[in-house]
Amino acid sequence: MSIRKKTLLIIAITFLVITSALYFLSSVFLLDGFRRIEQDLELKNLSHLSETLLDSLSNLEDKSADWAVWDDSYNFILDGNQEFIESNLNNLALDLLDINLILFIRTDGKQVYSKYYSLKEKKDYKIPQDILDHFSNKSLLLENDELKKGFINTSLGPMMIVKRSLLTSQAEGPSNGFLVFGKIIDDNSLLSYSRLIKAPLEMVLVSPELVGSSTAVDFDEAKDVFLRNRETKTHIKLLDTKTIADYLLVDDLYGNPLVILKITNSREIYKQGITSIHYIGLVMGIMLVLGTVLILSLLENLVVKHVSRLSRDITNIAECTDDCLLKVREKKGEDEISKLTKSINKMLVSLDQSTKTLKDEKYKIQKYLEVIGSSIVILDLSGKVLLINKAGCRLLGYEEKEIVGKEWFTSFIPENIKDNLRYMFERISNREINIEYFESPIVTKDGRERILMWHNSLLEDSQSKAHSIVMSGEDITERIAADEKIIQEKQSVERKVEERTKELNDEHAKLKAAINSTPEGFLLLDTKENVVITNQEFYGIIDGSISIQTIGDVAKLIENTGVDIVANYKTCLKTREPVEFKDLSFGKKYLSIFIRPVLEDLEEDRELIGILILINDITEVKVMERSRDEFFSIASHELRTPLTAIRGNISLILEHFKDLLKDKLLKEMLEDTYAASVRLIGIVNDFLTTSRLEMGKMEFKRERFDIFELSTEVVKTLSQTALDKGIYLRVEDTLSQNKAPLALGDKEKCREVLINLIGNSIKFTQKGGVSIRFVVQNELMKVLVTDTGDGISESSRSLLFRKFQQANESLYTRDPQRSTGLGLYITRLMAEAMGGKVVLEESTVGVGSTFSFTLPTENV
Amino acid sequence: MAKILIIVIEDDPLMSRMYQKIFMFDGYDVLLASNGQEGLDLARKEHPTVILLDIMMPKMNGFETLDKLKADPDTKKIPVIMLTNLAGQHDAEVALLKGAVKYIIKSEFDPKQVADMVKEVIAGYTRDVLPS
Repeated sequence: MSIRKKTLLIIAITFLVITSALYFLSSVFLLDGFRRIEQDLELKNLSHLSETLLDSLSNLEDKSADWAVWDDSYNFILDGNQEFIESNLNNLALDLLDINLILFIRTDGKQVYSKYYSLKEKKDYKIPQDILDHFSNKSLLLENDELKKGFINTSLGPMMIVKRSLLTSQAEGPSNGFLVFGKIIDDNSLLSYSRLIKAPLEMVLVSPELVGSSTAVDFDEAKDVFLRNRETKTHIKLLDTKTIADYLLVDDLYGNPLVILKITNSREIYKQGITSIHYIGLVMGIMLVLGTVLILSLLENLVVKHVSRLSRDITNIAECTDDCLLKVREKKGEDEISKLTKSINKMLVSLDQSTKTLKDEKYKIQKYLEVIGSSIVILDLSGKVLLINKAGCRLLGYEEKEIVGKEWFTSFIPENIKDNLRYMFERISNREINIEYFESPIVTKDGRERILMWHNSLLEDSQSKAHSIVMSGEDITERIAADEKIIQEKQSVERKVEERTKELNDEHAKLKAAINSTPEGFLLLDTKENVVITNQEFYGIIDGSISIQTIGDVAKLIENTGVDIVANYKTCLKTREPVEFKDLSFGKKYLSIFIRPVLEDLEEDRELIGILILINDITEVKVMERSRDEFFSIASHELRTPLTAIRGNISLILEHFKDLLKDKLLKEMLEDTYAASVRLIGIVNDFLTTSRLEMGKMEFKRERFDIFELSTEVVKTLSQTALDKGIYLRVEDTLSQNKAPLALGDKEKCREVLINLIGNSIKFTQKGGVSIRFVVQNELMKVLVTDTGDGISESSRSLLFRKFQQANESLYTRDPQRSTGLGLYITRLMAEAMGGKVVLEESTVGVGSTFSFTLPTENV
Repeated sequence: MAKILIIVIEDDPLMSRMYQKIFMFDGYDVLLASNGQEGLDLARKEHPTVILLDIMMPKMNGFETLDKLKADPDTKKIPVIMLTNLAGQHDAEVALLKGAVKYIIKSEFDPKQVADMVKEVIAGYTRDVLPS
């Protein structure tokens, strides 16, 4: 369906729906209004009727008043004189009064006079008993003097009556009886009412069994309404579209429903309403047609015309096959259709370009296929050749046209394998298997077989549905022969690789065993913070059971030690310097942690491949150390105390009991004991000093002092010894005191070093003497002690600064002067602990030796 | 010159008897205490001229005793010389910080040297305390 038709349809339907809705709504509301007006009017009619009835009753009442308040009738009820009857109660009088019934009844209930007169037939009738029953002695109507008026039911039809008490003309009593006027409501009465209300009037009795009467259905319905609700006196009903009926219920004097009066009206107002709605409908219809035409013409001019033209242009372009104008007519302006035409033109230009590019590409691909060395074949899914390039034709020895369209497998594949190959081809095209390349032979025109390595790929449409398969084959017949040789070589290489792998595995297993059996916790990390290898011992040492993945996990486990392992790891990565932490407290344990970089095992440009962390549980060592400390502490106290007592007491004896020591031998023995105790204390002290130095327990101060001055003091102390031996001891003032920098170290320890060195020199010098010199070298201060003693042989020098060694070659040639051989060892350790050193500078046997003591100065 | 009284607080009878003799021969009065508490009581009672105090002792060691002596206004002016076989420099400094006047390593000196050192101390103090 064209846009034009669709637009027309949509607009027409829209207008139709709107108009219908409007028409429907207006008719509902308008008609409802009209109906309400109609209802009001009918109610007015009913009230008019009701008033008319009351008027008529009032009229009867007025008439009766003239008669009841009158001396003549007052008397008549007492005497019943004939004269009154003849002159007043004749037919003419009743005609004038327009009544049917007249009764004179005494208060005791006796009827003095009664007359029923038919106004139509102008003659008297006997009064039916049922009328008289209303005025019997016990009747409600006669129970008191009050005026009574209303309707009663009689066998002659509904009757209007008035009852009054008879009084004198002066309206005085006492009343001796009652006067009753009655009038049957007959067709004439109805006719007169009808004239008054200007509408046809009908009447039925509520109890129709009394009088045969019309029993129209609508009356029955109204009766039902009234009887159901005794309060309701009126009812309105639509009889048909043109007539409406109003009903009025009239009760009798006793309050019982008596008759229903019905007014029939034609529905003028409603008819007017319908007419006006028809006019509105007409107007709307005209507007609908006009609106539709207007909008259609607007749409046609603004949109549809242009769209149709555009559609025609595009259809032309689409149907054009060869060299046509790729352009649509552009619409001027800035609206959407104008933009659309411009965009389409732009699109067409780029489409044109890409078509050209595609053609170029196609041309290029054809050329590629021609020049390519491999055979290219495209098969459809049934195995028919769709395309083959020149190389393929050359290889097979056929012309291209001989090949294209042929079934590939039956024509060009050796008989024995063609079924297998076809099966494989089917599975590939169904995507059951995915084989990118395979080897397969082909048969050429001259019957030779060539082996080709085929690469293949499925060609798919845009819905990924395979439609053909492209294969590229390379002739590998010659290469296969060459490959045989290569395979053999390869196998030999593989064997070697296998052997090497086994060796590596063995090596790996050994390393692993070594790592696992080492008592140290072993942790190897790569450079990206990941843990590569750990051993069981590591978990044992840190009491950890959770698995460790990164350096962060390690840090959490050992954070109690206070070592920031992550920071140190990073530092080590950067500097490649090992770091060691000793004596770390870790719970109840003591740990030492060693972090070192792992470098590739090459000579140059060694790459960092990881970080090794070793953790040692040194708790046992610490316990041992502590017991050793305690041992030395106890030994120092316990050994030295008795020795001191021996030495002290002998000293006291020698001093204070000289007079008693007459015996020379006794004195000598005591003196020897004293000397022995002194030497023993010296040995114990040396042992203690050695162990403290070795354990690093000795404390060294860092103070500045004048080494020149210290040396002078030491020389002064030892000068007596030198003097006793008859040798010189002097300080050669090679250093001006002003220039000399202050040495840096522990002054008292330096004193001991100097005493030891100078003392040694004195001890081993028999003639000549000992001289001390000073040299400042590279911020270091050197004290040179030169003697003219025995000298030290080449072979003994290496033992010189060792523990328990003296500069003698044999154990049996001990120097009797010195016992332990710890002196130089202690000296060396002390010097080293202060950042200095003690060395033998030079020595010649028989000429002398020079020792030096080097110390840092304050300038360092 | 008033008689000089020296209290030696030392648990080892070998040592204490030796010191007793050293000072006896020089004509001083010597009282011996075999532990810190005893020495403390004796010092409060006798107000000695000088106290020689060993460091390693049962019950109350020398440092504790020294603290107590120096905390008591009654005894704090009495000079205290520490006696020990501990050769550590550290101990010497601790003792001097706590108020000792001297520090003698027992094994390193002859009795005569010890006597001289004590005499030196006494001389220094008695000049102020006993002007006669």
